[in-house]
Amino acid sequence: MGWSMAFAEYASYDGLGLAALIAKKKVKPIELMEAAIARAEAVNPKINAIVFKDYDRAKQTAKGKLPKGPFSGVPFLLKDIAGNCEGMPTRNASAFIPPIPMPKDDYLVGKFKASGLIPFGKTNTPEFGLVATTESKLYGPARNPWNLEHSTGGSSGGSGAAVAAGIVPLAHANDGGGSIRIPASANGLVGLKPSRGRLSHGPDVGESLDGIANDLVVSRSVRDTAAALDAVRGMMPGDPVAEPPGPESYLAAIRRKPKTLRVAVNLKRLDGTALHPDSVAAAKRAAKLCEELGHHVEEATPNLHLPTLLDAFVGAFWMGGLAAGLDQVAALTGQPLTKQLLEPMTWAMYQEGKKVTASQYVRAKAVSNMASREMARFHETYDVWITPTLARPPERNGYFRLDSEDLDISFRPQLEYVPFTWVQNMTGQPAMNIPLYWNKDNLPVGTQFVAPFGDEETLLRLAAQLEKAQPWFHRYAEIKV
Amino acid sequence: MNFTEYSGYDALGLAALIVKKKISAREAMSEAIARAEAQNPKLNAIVFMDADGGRAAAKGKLPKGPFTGVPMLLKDMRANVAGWPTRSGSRMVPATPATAQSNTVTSFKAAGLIPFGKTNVPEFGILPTTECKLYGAAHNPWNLEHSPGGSSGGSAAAVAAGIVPIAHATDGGGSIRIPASACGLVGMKASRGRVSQGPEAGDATSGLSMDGVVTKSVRDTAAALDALSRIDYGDPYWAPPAEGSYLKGIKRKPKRLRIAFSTKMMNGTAHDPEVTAAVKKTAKLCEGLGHMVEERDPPLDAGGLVNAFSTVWCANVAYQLDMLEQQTGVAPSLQVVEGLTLGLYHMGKAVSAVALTQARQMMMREGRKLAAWYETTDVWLTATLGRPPMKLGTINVDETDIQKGFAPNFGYVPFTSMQNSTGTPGINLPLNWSKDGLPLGVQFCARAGGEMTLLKLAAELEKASPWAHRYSQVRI
Repeated sequence: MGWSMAFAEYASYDGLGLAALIAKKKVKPIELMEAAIARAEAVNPKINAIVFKDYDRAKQTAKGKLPKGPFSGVPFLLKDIAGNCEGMPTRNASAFIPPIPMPKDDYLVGKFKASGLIPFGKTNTPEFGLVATTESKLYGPARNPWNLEHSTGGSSGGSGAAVAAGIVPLAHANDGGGSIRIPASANGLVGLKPSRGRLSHGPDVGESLDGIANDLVVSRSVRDTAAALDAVRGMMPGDPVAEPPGPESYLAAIRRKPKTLRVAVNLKRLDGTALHPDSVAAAKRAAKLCEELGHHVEEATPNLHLPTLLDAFVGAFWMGGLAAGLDQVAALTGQPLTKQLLEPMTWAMYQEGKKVTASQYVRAKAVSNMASREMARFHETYDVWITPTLARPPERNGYFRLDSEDLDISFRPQLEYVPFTWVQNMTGQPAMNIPLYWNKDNLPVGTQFVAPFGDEETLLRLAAQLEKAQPWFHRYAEIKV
Repeated sequence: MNFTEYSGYDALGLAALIVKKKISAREAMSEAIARAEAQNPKLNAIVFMDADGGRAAAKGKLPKGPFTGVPMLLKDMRANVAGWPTRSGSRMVPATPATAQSNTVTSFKAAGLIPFGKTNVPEFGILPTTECKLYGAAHNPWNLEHSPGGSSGGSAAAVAAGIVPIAHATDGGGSIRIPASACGLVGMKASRGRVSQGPEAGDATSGLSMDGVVTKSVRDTAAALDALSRIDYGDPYWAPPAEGSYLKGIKRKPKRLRIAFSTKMMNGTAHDPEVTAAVKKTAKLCEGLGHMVEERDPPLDAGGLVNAFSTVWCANVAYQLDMLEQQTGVAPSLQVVEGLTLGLYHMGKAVSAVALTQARQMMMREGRKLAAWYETTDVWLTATLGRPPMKLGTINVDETDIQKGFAPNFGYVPFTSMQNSTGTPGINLPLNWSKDGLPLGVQFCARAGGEMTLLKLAAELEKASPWAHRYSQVRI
């Protein structure tokens, strides 16, 4: 093998740690890239995290002059949804999208590259990122490095698995209903969905999924997520909405402890029904840690009307948004959309989405806005809202029947599994999974932390405080793939 | 204090008199109410008046702000005041008093303004004139046979006539700038997200619409924007941060600006010659002030933008009427809405979520093109209206055929909706008048977040070519 850095050593660093080794000339970027590729080649046959390889170009890049950024020379992976990168296709795990290499980087990828990250492939997702597990017909299922029979979560499950398995220290992810936070929970990682408007989705897109979705990374350390946010944040000309205020540098901000926070914790679903004991135990553990750190914690739930919210989210944004997206692809490729080209669940959701009227869609936006106002009221009393990220530990692959056109069979069970995360997509608030709990089967069970709109800083500072109080980095060494 | 004096002041001027105790807030309010009572029978600008409430507020303790004690009026759309109805000019909207106060009203009151009534609008604000069945037509103070523009026509007529120096207005397709043009006022639509539409709404008309004011002076608009540009948690997104106080900002001259101007519609159609001449004269004026001026259009798909705008607009009419039907149990019909509104409703009901999303994405793509153009252009100067203010009765609100009904608008409103579609700011300035003595506004536009540039330029132009003396020519 051609790399001079042993895997155990490579995997013992986070992204900033590897970048520091390069800066100190202890290792060369090409050596890191070869270590990453070697690890990918060794474990990917088992976890199926990477679905497009661009090794040669990445090696060329690693040998050349690199931008001076916080991650200069660190190997990186991009999700197969958005994250458009020159020379790589973006297929959304769908046979409907041809494997045509993108002609140029989008703003996000341009900023990742400018921070010194070197993308060398694309990661697995479910078709169009519609579900909370990463099992597509096109690519086959990704597998959870903590237990190969289990799901990686979704939709950024390939990225989640690749980071947990030590192929890369951080990877691109995006989140329209929980798709950063869910795989972060299932793989024991940090995953922050930033506030609406924090970063640009241009130049081809205005608002991602109409302001519902946002991009960032899944990472092993809080500081990597903070540095990645610093790298990609900010408006680009023509963005339809502006970036909310934030600190000069999130990486600098996390060196300071948060003030004493008023924390609300939710141990039940929004409709008051029960969650799996492991998810409850994880949230309780997180709440206790917060208390031990001096924060004020109590059980509290915002006054959100679940059926109205769900109806708006699923009906209008998820299905209506899918239909708009697929029609746009059809218009761009000139390829008519047929049933044969889509998975059965996707086809059924597309059919439903076509029926949504504009009036219903505008109403759904109004419902979102009312939820935003209610959450703003809630946050007058609580700085942070803690919820379980998932209703139970990561499911086994095959559990969700995605091959059914009956949405009650294929899609509905997702909603029961994902009780909270999509609400922050509607309200545009920042929300973050933090890996603080593993169940008796040694599966990660994450906890979600939610802050007011625009306040990623509080989340990251609290996360850094929790990471110090109860470190999790040593756990990655337990992964044997 | 006599009539001539009151209307000789802008809002900040009146507030200064009150601070110096030359007049009291009560006297200012009495004057405003007296003028409203005297002139409104001819203007029909005010459709709801709470004179007692206004007098009581003026007598009480007032918040210290830039406008302390100045009477104002609110448009009959949004700007809810607890206890007052807001009917959007429609018989379909019950005259139920609002229970909660809009954030805009909270901001106005905190700045010291005292609202005492609501102003006329076309039904649901859908027209560039102010003629509705519920209230009847508002008249232009410069010539009562003409329209004051719309949809904030009642507010503009009230300000031009000297009833109040400042009034609330909203703009989803030009509805601040159009009446400002028709009535010879300053009227700015700010950047998307600049003014909170809470608590009752998030992004009104799918992010097209923005609240603001119509005023007689640039400084009043600047001070009002300072008061209004407050973010409320729960707003779906926020505007780019303001570059400090606008009122302070306009004391400094703008840097040398790169100004592009358009003398025709973007499809090549000519404006009324008087309008074209007004734009050219204004371009010359800018050049004389040292700015770099050239005739040049942005590379926008204007036709596509207008189609996308229509899609989003009618979809929002359909949503609004669907919600009203749910609340009142009464379905939209000619019994309760006007023909044009019903036509838009039917058109909107046929729009799918997919088509709405495509229209909004189209707007965002054009927004990127416009932003790229603004990298090398600071300001875009256009006509606000393609012709002088239309005569009342030009638009037949009973027409249910949208094509026929809206035909008089073609060429009349050539540019203003583009700023709504792209979320960029635009300001009407009253720099020219027609040979018949009707105001001919021009519009200055800038990149998103460029309000300070526009206001500085506006203040410079106001000094170079003042218009304040003209208001004394208004005879009703």
